[in-house]
Amino acid sequence: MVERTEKLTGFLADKLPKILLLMGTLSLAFCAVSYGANPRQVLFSYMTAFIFFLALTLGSLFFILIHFLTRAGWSVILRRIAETLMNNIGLMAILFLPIAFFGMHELYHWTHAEAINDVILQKKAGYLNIKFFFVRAVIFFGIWFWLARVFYNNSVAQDATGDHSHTLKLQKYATFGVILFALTLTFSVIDWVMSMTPHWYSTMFGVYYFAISTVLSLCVITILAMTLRRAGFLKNEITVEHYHDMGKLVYGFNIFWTYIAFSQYFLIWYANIPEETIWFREHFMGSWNAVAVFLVLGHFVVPFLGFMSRHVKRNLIAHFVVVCWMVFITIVDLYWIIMPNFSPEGIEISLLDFAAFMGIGGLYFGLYFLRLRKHALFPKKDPRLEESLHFHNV
Amino acid sequence: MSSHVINYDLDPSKRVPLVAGNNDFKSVTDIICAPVEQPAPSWWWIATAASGSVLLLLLSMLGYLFWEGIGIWGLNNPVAWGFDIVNLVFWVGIGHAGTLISAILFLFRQKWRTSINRFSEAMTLFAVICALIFPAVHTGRPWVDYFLLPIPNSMAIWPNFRSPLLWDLFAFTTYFTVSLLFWYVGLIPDLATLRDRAKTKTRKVVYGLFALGWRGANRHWQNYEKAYMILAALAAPLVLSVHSIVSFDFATSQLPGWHTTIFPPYFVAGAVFSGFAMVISLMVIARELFGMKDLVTMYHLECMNKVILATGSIVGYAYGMEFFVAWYSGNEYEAFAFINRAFGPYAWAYWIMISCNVISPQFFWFKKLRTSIPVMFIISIFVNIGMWFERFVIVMTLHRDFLPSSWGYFRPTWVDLSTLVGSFGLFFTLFLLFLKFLPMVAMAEVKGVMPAANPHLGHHGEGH
Repeated sequence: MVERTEKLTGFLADKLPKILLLMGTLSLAFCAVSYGANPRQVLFSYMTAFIFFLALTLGSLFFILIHFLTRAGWSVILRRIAETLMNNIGLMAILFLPIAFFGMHELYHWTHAEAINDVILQKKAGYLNIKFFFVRAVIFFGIWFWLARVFYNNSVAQDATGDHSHTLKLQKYATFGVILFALTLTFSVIDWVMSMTPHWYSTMFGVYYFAISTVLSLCVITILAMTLRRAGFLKNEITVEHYHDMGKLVYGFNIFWTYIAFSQYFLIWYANIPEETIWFREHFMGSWNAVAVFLVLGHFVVPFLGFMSRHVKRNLIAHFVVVCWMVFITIVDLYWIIMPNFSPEGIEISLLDFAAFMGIGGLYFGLYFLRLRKHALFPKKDPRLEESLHFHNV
Repeated sequence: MSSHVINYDLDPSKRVPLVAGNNDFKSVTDIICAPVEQPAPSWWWIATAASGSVLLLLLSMLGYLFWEGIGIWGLNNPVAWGFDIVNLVFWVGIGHAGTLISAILFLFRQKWRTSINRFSEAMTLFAVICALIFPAVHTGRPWVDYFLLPIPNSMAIWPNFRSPLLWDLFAFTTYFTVSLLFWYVGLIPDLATLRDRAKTKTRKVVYGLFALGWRGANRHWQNYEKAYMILAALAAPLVLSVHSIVSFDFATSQLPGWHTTIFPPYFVAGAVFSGFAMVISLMVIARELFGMKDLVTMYHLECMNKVILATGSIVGYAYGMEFFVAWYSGNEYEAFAFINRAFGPYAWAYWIMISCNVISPQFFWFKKLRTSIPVMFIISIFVNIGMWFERFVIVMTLHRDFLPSSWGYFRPTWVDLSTLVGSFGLFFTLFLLFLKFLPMVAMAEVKGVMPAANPHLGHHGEGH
């Protein structure tokens, strides 16, 4: 057997987490300081960043669930990278606290006293009330945290023993896990994002967020794998074959995103019912319209044409450029979904938008690399590891 | 028999072999060619005669329709869409398993598809043919169907390009064409095998004609693989597009209960769900009658049942989401449409739908049940019934519109029912002909997933 570097060492393991954590803390401190002067801006910027990193975490959870559900072999080598992302759900729960304690009034106008006079909101009061909202949040994080722990702990435990029973157990857990995942993801995004425009509704909204989170997590997993490769880790293990396959998934799920986003828009546009079109009207106001057009081009046309070729998927530099672009465009997408609630007349980019992303992102990836260095970089005794290592595209 | 039996459920490092028994290439060819080469068994004649007569029922109902007009159907004023659209959506849905298995499972490298793809692609084509009958005759005047096509005509009348019914035409014809090409391309190597094995001149000429001079040369295979991959890539979005556009027929309207944004993916999941159920219903019988148990193993059936469970759960999710949002929207009409579905005059249909589509697949959570032939057969029939009723429930939303004074109730006439039954006659007749004249399993592809086809196959042979 070939000797493999198992553990993360060097800059990525020691220095980078510290830099990231420092950057995160400082940025969040900046957000906190600005809160006094401009609470609304801080909260909306923070919320956008929060929803982005939540999408990344949940998408990675889905990657793991589907990996076990389908008994996948090829992706074993990538699994620890995704598992560690998924394992950040605890951090996301903590990062939710500022929203819960300070954000409710600014972010959700159904919490206002005037809501009592709103006939439609009154009808929804059984669901949209603060108490039940918090109960649900606890349930969502509880379920995600539990799933993430079970999958992470069993995977890590298998590193030591190589015991097949861990794989078998996780295959079993993945079945109902994926159902819990679908329900919690749907209702969490209804609560946290859709209810920002509380009159509006769309049965597709949960699926839309699912599509976002899947594309995003696939891209970030690829970027992380390439970062490790650059630093000399898993160079011979994660081959161009794996990148090619990840690229296909990114490509496919991006078309899925387009399909969902288009269907949602198209059906609302076609039926032209005021209580539904209102959402798009608000998101097409002023310069937001330009953002929407940019999304059509940047989220669909560009990757659809640019990432179709096998050569691009197998050229790691080109591949890297595309997935970074996809991450960027996902930020734009979420920004376009959330921020018109803050600045209805048009896009208003603020320093705080960047600070919130760097804040949450700094803590997120700081913690990520600290966790990644604790265990082997890949599930080293997974029964399907050999299959993953020898995997070739036909 | 080998002495050491591997329990694949307990050893994740091993993959279940896709061809069971002591088969080699030759025996696989023999098994698959047997139904085509041997004289048809008596049950085949009986079944073909039976389904042929049901087909005659369809033809006579259509004749009656053309003679008399659609007054013989049960349509009435609030319910202007009846069995024709229900049957259309039902059959198109059945037609989704084939392309999903051949295209999407191919792209996902699910090798177990090789034993069932030919079979389900054929099923797809026949189901789409059944489906296409209904829009073609739904006006009772098939001679004006050319109006659907965007061809310049002397009357300068064009179809309404903004109507989803027109998109259906494009979607169906594209889907049918690509599915047919896909199926035919896959058949070419197998047709050549049949040609080479032919004992009579006629067979040699006919199979030879359709085998397009295939010699199995290296270059042939290279072109074949490339064509197959491209067709798979083209067919994959079609799996989604066809039923999405069918869902647009309903969802672009402003009708509560029809207009909801989740319809496209929900319809696609439902279509795959019903298509797989139909594959199970037919495959369970076919593998028994033709002795194909080594090729279509319990593992294949179990995989299909898992897909049924997964897609059934997605359908259940959509039902739940619709109901939740109908309430959450605060829109009383939306809420009424759903409460009326569940507790109104058509509650019986709604609860048939829920029990068949949401409850019955839940039995597949248990390995014992999803690997039991009788259980899976019964559940697959239930799913087919449930999916027909799903479309019925959706269409019957019409029976109580915005004006309570015009509320009505739809009752199918004997013609409606006979046309539905007759469409099964068409489907089964075509299917039985397929079983007799074409190889029902893709020989060349199955061989490709056998251990002997692996160039890295170790030097250790299987136990002799």
